[in-house]
Amino acid sequence: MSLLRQFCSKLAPILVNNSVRSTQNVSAAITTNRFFSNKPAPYEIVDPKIEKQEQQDIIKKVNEQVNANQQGRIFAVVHLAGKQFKITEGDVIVVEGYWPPGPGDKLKLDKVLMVGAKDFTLIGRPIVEDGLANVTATVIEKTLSHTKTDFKKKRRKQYKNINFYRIQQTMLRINTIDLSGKLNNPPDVTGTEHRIL
Amino acid sequence: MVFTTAVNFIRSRGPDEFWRKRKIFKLAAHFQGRKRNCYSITIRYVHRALVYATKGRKLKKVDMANLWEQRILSGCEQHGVTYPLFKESLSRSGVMLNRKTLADLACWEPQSFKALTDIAQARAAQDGLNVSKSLEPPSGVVTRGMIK
Amino acid sequence: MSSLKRVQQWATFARIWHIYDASWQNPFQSAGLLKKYLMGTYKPIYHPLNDCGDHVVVINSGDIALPGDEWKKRVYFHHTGYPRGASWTLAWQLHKKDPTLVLKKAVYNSMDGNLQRRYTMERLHIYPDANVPADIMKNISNQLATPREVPKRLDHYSEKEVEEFPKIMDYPKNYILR
Repeated sequence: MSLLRQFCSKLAPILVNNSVRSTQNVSAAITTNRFFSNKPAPYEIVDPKIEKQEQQDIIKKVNEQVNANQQGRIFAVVHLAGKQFKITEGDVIVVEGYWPPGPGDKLKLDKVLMVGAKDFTLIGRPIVEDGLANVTATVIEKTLSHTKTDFKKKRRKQYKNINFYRIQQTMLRINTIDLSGKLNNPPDVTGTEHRIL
Repeated sequence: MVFTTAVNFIRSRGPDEFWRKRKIFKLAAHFQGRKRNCYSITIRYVHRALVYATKGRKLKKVDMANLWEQRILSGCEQHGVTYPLFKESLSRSGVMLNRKTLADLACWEPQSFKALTDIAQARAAQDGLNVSKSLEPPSGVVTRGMIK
Repeated sequence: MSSLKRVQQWATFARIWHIYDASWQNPFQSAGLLKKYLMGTYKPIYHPLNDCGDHVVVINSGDIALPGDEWKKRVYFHHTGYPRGASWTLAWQLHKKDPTLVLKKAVYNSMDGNLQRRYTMERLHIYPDANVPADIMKNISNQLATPREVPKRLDHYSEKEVEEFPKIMDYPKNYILR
């Protein structure tokens, strides 16, 4: 989308006047402020009431869209087993290394770092509000990767070493990603003491 | 020397030598010319290929990291934020997306990435970080009370 | 794939034609900038195997400005491959022979020497002046900002502007200007 925007850039001065060689500076057509140091420090006077209203409006809009189920296909970024995955519904992700869950286990992925829909993106700091996004997944397969050969050799040094290894892999199907909770409406925090975030 | 018929099994000499060489020849099945047919040449090239494979597994990670950096950099550039400022502001705001995710967002979710650069810019302006390279401050970012 | 998505796909991977005015620009600094557009590294969709580089049309390459005394000191080496086939050409001599070559070599040398480099260079069109063929000019849709501003020479100011420029003092009548 951002690339699309590039097509719109105007080229009027060049296309009209082809003889730009002599004194005319073509780059003058682009109005960029070269001397940034002259820029005053940014400040603005903000009415807290108006700003509060603006925030409320944005939150209301998102809530309305979610309630009407108009948000479209959602993607989420989850933190799982030390890695981050950008996922959408129906994806299969591979968790490498030792990971206890077994085939058929249904999981709720709690560490959601970001949820994005057609018109809005919810960015977690670092994770979105508990209970707001509901990401569920099923372990569909536990397997090993193909055999990887770790081969080292030094020429003329009589050194050769070969090892074979396979990595444990867990395939995880993402069943649902939905926004179940209400935005900016944190629930009373209970029962999360046992969690390690 | 990949045998497809049983006739060839009879031709093979000692059992041990045959199977030992066969292991190597199987790895060289896709090589060209004598590299795949003559054992003494095959073994050299198989060793070389395996060393490359071992090294390549590490290099792949480096290459991917470089590509992520490149993509984030170009994404930042489009929205007028420098890369260090972007990372600093995000970590100050508590956004803990890693480079892989940020690169994915820059490539596949340009709108969400723009939201991140906007937040970074707003945060930088709020904290008085060096925003001199920014082309213009983002409009429509309501931050007060939400960031920090 | 909806028609909107299809067009978006085309637009994302379409080659953009940029124009760059090289007058008064340092070719080695410009090379770093042009490289980015030729290879497409300025796009978040960049991948080394993804053919997403753009075309860049450079005009006024005859008017480039080398830093310091590089016109005199920079030497371009060439070897024909035969014995005693080595030759050294000074930058000013090369520029006299072909005013596009200094910039072209600067861009070429700024890129990594891989198989893609020659194809990437094909997308660079350099012209010594502002006379660009119409069939190339019609493709252009973007202009690249130059890293340096072109200074205005004294002889390009009008008589009136020079007259009206604030002065600290007038020369005395009997002062002889040498």
